[in-house]
Amino acid sequence: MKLAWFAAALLATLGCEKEPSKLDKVAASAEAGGGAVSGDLEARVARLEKKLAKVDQGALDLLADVYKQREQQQAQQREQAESQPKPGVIYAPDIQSTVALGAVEGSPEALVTIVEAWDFA
Amino acid sequence: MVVHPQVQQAHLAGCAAAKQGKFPEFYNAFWERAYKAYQEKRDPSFLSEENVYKIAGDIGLDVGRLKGDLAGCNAVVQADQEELQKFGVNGTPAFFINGEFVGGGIPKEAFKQIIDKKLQIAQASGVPGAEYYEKEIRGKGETSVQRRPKQ
Repeated sequence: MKLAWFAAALLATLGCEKEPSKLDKVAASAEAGGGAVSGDLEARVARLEKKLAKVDQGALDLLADVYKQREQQQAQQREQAESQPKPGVIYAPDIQSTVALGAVEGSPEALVTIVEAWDFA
Repeated sequence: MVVHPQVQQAHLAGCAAAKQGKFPEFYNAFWERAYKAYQEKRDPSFLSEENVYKIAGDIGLDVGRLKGDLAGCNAVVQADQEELQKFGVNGTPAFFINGEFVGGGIPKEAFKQIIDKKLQIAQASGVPGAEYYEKEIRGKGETSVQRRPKQ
């Protein structure tokens, strides 16, 4: 039991020696990228605030774009809906030329006229 | 009517057939012998000009006269499409039953109900059938889809 514990502790030690902490990599990367961690605390906070303001503005611009697109879509949908025939409204297509042409079936005395929009497809 | 390009010739022929008093015959024959056959076999020759003339001849139309009338029918087909566009019709089938719009296919019973309702209204109006559409529908109905002015 004791031996096993020792072996485990040894392995853990070796493991720590072989693999550096991930945090070390982050710090090294920040230093390589323009000295992001240099300067006193106030300067660093100022830089962070500046960065944050840029991010905020980007997010706001993105949101504005999304809203604009949404408004355009809604306007398009409204226009489309307004250009469609509505229930409960009586529409009166002019059929005189069609009737005169003879593209018609049924009695001219009929009380109900069905105007058909059709296609051979 | 709403015309797909591949059947433009058939529409023109339908108009020319109407000039010979045989629109319904041509309409039904073209559906059966051209469009349905095309759908079943996917052979575009069923929609060809040659087949249009063959069908026209088979139902007793004067094909020479029909060919002569085709050019004049362009304006007729165009005018029909423009009239339907005023009402926002952009698909077929679509119907106006005494002015009431029905878009797309609906069950036969629902169709019959609308017709019966319209018949009752027309009968109650006392207006003769020959005058009813012009007087009651054209005279009182909307001649286009109303659109609000843009702001």
